[in-house]
Amino acid sequence: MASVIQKQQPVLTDGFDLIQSLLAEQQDLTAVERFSQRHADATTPLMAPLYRELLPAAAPSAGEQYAFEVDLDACSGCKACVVACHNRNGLDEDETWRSVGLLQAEDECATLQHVTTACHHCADPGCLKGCPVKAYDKDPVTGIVVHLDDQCIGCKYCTMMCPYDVPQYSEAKGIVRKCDMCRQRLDVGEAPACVQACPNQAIRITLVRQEDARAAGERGEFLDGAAHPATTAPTTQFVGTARTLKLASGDQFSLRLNHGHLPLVVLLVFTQLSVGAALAGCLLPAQRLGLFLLATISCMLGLAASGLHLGRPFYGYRVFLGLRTSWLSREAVIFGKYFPLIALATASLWFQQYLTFGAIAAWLGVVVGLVGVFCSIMIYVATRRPVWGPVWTGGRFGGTVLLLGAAAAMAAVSGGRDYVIPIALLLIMLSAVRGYLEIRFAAKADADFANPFTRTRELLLDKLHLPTQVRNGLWAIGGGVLPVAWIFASPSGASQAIAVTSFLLLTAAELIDRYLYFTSESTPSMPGVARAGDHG
Amino acid sequence: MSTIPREEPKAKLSPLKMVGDIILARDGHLTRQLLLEPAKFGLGKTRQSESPDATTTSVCGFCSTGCGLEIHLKEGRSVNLTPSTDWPVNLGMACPKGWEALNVLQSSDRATRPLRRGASGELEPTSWDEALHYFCQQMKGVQSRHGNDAVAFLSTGQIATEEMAFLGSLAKFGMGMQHGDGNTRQCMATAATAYKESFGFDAPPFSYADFEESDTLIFVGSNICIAHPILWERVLRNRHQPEIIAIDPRLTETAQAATSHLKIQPKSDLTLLYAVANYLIQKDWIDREFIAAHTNDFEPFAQHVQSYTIERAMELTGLSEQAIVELAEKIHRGQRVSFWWTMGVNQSHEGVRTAQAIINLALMTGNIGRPGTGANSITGQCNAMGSRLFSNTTNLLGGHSFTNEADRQKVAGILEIPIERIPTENSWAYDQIIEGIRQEKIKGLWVIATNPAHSWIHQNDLQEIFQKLDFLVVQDMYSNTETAQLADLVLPAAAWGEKEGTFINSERRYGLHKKVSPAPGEALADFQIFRAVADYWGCGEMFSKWTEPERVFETMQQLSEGQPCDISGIAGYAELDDRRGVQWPCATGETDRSVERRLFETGRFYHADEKAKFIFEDSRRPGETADDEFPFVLLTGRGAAAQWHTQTRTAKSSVLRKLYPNVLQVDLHPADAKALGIAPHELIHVESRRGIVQAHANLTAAVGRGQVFMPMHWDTVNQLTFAEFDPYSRQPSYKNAAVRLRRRQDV
Repeated sequence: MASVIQKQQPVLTDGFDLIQSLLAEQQDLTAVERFSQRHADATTPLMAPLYRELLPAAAPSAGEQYAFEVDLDACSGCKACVVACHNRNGLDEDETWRSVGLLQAEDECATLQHVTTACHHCADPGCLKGCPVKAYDKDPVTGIVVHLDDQCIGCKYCTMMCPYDVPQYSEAKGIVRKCDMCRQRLDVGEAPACVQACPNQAIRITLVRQEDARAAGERGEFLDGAAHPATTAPTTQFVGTARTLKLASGDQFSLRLNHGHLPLVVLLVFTQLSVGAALAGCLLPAQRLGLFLLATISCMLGLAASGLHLGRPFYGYRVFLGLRTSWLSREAVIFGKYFPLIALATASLWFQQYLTFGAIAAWLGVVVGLVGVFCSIMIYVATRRPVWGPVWTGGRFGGTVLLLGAAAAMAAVSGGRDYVIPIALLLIMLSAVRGYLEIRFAAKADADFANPFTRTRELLLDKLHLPTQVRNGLWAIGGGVLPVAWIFASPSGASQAIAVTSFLLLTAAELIDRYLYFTSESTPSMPGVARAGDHG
Repeated sequence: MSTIPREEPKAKLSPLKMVGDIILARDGHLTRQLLLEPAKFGLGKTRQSESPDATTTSVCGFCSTGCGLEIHLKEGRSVNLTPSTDWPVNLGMACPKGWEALNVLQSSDRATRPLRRGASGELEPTSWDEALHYFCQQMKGVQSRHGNDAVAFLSTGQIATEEMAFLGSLAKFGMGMQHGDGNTRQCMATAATAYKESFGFDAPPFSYADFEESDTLIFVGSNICIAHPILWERVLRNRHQPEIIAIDPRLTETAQAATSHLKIQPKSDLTLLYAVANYLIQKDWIDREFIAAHTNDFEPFAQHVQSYTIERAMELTGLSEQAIVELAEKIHRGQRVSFWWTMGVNQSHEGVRTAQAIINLALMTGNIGRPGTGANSITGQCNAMGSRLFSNTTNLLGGHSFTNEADRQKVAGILEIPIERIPTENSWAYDQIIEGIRQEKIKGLWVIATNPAHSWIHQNDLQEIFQKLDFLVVQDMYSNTETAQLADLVLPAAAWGEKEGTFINSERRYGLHKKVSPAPGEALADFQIFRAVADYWGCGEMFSKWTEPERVFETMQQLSEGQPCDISGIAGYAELDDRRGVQWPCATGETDRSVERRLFETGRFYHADEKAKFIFEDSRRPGETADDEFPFVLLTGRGAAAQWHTQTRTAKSSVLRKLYPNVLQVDLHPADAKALGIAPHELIHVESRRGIVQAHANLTAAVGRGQVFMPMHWDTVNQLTFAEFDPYSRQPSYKNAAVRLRRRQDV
């Protein structure tokens, strides 16, 4: 745009010095000293008169605890609470402990309801129950659910156990953090940051009887657009006229992929493969060494991957602490026992000692491994996310054990004539059962986007379309076409290649399936705002 | 309440504890990161690492509410902020923007060096010396080729009053420009024009206390909950169980929270207000005494509204008879009725007359000059009010007139400049400047702290027109705004928090913002840039007294003397700080030091006869209406309280970004969606005669049938808007474009 200049204009010769002095002046912040210092001797917080009535007059008595109370009629959606919490607690740049979602009427009734929400300091906190290292405390007096940051190993299991997506994982820190109701403030009679910051006084701290929270949870009374309260008995009290309407979350239709948790994908598939191969090895004496070796190596792979999953793997040894309540602790401890047993069984074959102690180790290993797989299943069943229910998770994880066990057996017996028909048929049947479960699973979906199965189906059909198709194709080829081909090719040399290919394709299918298991989970947690992009 | 510091136990190095910690660590560096400690200055518990050694108050630099923010200082630099508890505006509260005001300064895309478009066509860093030479050469080149008035400026409501005064004076008196306008044209021109015509001066009469003292609050085209959340705080502090009436085509947050919502058809507000006036007159529910004593032209007004029957209003507004009558009854019943309006009125093809219809209702019912009353325009930007008085664009400095010789004399005398330096004609308005560029009458443009390439109506047209400029300079705190990307020269500006000066808020309160953070790189305060430009241009002498903002403030005080906006009685910045802001007027000798004051308590207005004037005109259809081809009306407006205008600042905060949808949504009535086969969240095409934009359908009955709503913060939305302007205020009508919706597979 700029045109050519005709002639140089005269400029003051002191121009350069002026710039230097302006730049120097710009960096000089002493201007502020000119103004009086206010409140230098204030001994109590200036906000105290404004929030005093928003705090309970007395401490909780037995069976009671502190809880947030949100007046939905007063929440006008300014979201100052979110930023004030972030600011006053010194959270990381993109870390927020409070959020404000939107509820809208789905029909032609015009309603607009913003909802401010943070940790619900549940009567039966899922995070606490799931934590394998006791990094959560529920304060016996206040009922505040506190996360112990230095105790956390960054396993992220609490992010799955919490139905409300409260704990926030920080890649940089390797731990999760969450709202502690500003207990350091409450300790000295100051209100939590969000309570202090709401211009409309929509948030207050109240006392709630934990039994009442549990009863309300059982009755399903909480908030539209939120996860079912029976799981953890959240204590936040949402009050206001909006409670009487049927509302849907503002982000109901903007489906996003959940975290893929690749290390967990590897951990699950390879430990399950390991148990399946070990079982096959126990049953097939001629192929035992190969199958046990496969079991040992895949178990090692799976366990190594689990280390990658942790934000702070060096503290992973604490994982036994949660044995009493956490399926994750149990899984970790059990697989910790499984591995030496199966390694011992493998070694016994090497040293020709299978019959002296190897068989006991192997069978014991298989039993322990199956218990480990059961723990793996329970880890996800315990979250009570509907798409991770016992049938679906059990079907998947158990299916992996049997399917990959059978596929490994097929690869192992190749070249011979024994067991060809039974193994091939078993494999075809197992694949068919997996397929049948998928159809049953898909049938749980309907037109309601608040239904978790609908949400998962939509993700599988849209954003996850390609991996879903690839998985289905691999199942069909690896578990259908190739076993049939294998029957006809056996015992020729080609049969081995076919069997190994089938095994590899099915392993790949299971890996994809586990990735889909995580990424397509989209149970509504709390009302949100429409978003594109994906988690993690 | 106790603030006894809880001493953290010193870490003991006993072996037992070490072993214990390995198993169960209740303390450690991660725990300590979130440790709070009692802070002084009445702040309550504060992060240990940010414990301040001093605090100072600064007025927020986003919107016109004018909240006080307590800046926490450590060794003279800001480390954090909290809303001021003793600032009479916000009383300890702030909206998300205010809370994040310091953080957005830290963005990596701040402009840190002057940038000049090089031979490659890219913006390349250069020195200030080079940049200023280049600026003067190019601007003077344009002037020598096309005349002095071929260079114009577009200013802003986002910089200090002192900076506006400097810019306006430098541009017009120093550089010889004729035309300059501000982005306040896009938000406040209508209110300014309406007040000036009705009251004799651009004088919003209210104080925020009126929100609390009113028994009937009527919001016209104002989503105050989202646009001014802290003013809604003041409404909720009202202890009179007030009637709150929202007049808005959309169910906004404010409409949801109101006691009644009149969901009118777009652009039917003027008819509704006239019909209500007519009904009040028919019922004789008017204050004849006040009308006779303090107003002119009531009789012609009463005659004029006679044809605005309830039936006529019902037809246009879509409201029931009962709803309209009830509105009139509530105005009648209320002892303290206040009317509040914002962009729904201002951004209209007949905005001035609509604002005046509101003013007329207040005048005829005597609802003005008393607590809890008034015809009150809530302003937009932090210093729109400063711009209205001192930007030297529409008015000569201090609410004077360019066309009035005595005014020119006065200003020339105070500034000690030859009177010939003061233009004798009014400046073109924003749209006329843009039109001037199209017609190649303006060839050089200086854009300061605003982003027209995003915000101007009918955006594609503007971007095309800007290509016709010989020289475009953008002065901004970010070098990547849509407008900066078109510039030949970018001047890096220091931001709010990195400089000082005054803002005037909606209730006429002067407040001070202060320099509490170092500017990045070589960025300079706009004030300093103006000093440098004056020097390089060769007119530095003219402004030699203006070495710092407070010197300009002193000049402003002199200029204001004898004007309704007289501030000659303020004892400098120190008093502004001590008294927690001062509302104008505050003339020399003013004894009323009340924190909150309203205008017209004596019923004396600013026209020569001290009477207010009823001004009216027939309502007319907007220039574009929905038709068969484009059957929907597009409304635009604020999205979330965490978003500010073209998002140059607010998009820089990752926390703020979490607070609104990260996709562009178009709100659409479920029945309309059904008729068009549009699924929830489906990405669809929104098309006007001017552009096509993709947006996700958000199905909500908050919008009426045949209407859609899109937030203005997305850079594409103004590709759709229809360029029509109020004939008196020249303000663009952003809330009225005909569009159609198409599914992508049908395109």
